[in-house]
Amino acid sequence: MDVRLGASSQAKSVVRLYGRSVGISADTADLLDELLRVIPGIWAPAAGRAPRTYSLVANGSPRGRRYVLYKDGVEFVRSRDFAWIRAVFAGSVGFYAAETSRIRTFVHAGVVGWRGRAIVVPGREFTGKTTLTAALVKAGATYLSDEFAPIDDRGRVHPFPRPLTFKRADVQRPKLVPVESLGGVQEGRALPVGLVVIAPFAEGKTWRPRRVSPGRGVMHLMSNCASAQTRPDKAFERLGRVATMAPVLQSARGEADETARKILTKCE
Amino acid sequence: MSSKALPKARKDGLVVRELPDEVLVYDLERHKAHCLNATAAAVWQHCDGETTPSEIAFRLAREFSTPVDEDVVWLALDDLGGLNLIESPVVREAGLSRAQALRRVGVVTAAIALPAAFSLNVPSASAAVCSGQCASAVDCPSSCPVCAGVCTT
Repeated sequence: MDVRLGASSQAKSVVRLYGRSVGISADTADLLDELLRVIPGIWAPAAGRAPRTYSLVANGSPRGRRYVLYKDGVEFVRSRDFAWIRAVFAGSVGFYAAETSRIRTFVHAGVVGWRGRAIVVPGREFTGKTTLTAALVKAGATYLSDEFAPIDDRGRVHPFPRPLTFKRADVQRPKLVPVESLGGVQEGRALPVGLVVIAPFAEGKTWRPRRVSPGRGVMHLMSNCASAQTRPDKAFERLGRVATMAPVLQSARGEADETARKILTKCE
Repeated sequence: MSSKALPKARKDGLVVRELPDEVLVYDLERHKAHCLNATAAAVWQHCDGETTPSEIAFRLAREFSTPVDEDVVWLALDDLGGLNLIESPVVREAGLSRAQALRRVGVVTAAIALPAAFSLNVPSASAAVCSGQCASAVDCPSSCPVCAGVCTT
């Protein structure tokens, strides 16, 4: 396996997101900027050592470039397609924050804002999370995330900005859609949770939710929580706060637009 | 129905959080989470290694202000033992089977919920995020063990 320490990279930066530092380096400042532009979530430049590093190397002529991305000094992904490299980088950085953040508990979920409160839609990949999030945005909700709900000690959800990412199991490349192109707005504030909706897509189903107990609600959130195994105490504390202050509704759903309208009606 | 068993709740290797009518328990050794309803939680909390099931039933009756059959306690102990939340599982010397006890308790118990526990195998970070159906590395948030074979090629 190819190992690279990144010491010869010409452009370097350290960023901090959700309490975690990430070091990023690239052969040129332009390449570094390209990586910085796709970091998901809320981040800021930082200084000092970073426990996670990425290093991007470009080889070959300008017409036939090959890119190699290293993670912690070990080759992570190699491709001629720079868009691919950026997408893998963005996903990995976001996942690192989700897995290791101490100041937030990350639930894999779509999140929108409605009348000053967050609606959280937890679920695994390919359960229709992004489709429902997009339908909620098109119905007038603000957008916080289609990937992670970073939850703080007060049970509030913080934005995790990134383009909506529509995936299909049978299609290799996901479709990235900026929220603005749906007529939506990125929410900039952390919001208290007003509703948790467990609504996996099932062909032909109609969304007829039943309320589950707070304890069951926490269990559902735990099953989609990136740090449930590593920090169960904090996960219980933060997710318990969410599930006791907001109803948790569960039902399979069919068509997303109709479900979105029903969900927003529940929040009136 | 009597027994000399003295059930003792396991304390080590657990993270416990109380909610208004439920108790959440995380088993650090097995990475399992359990949600106990109020009845199961109350039985568990009385398992101090010094109290018999019949005494636990008596205490529950006081707390819930309703008669509590000892079979309710035994049902809860059966569940809690299966979840590894009792230090040494207590075995009833003689009496009804679980199915018989459930039927009997269902008849005599109206004011107190039957003990119930909902359990979850807590996923690792990558499994919590990835369904294992990734078609590409772009889909996958990391080189996770669930889909490494697909995503990293």
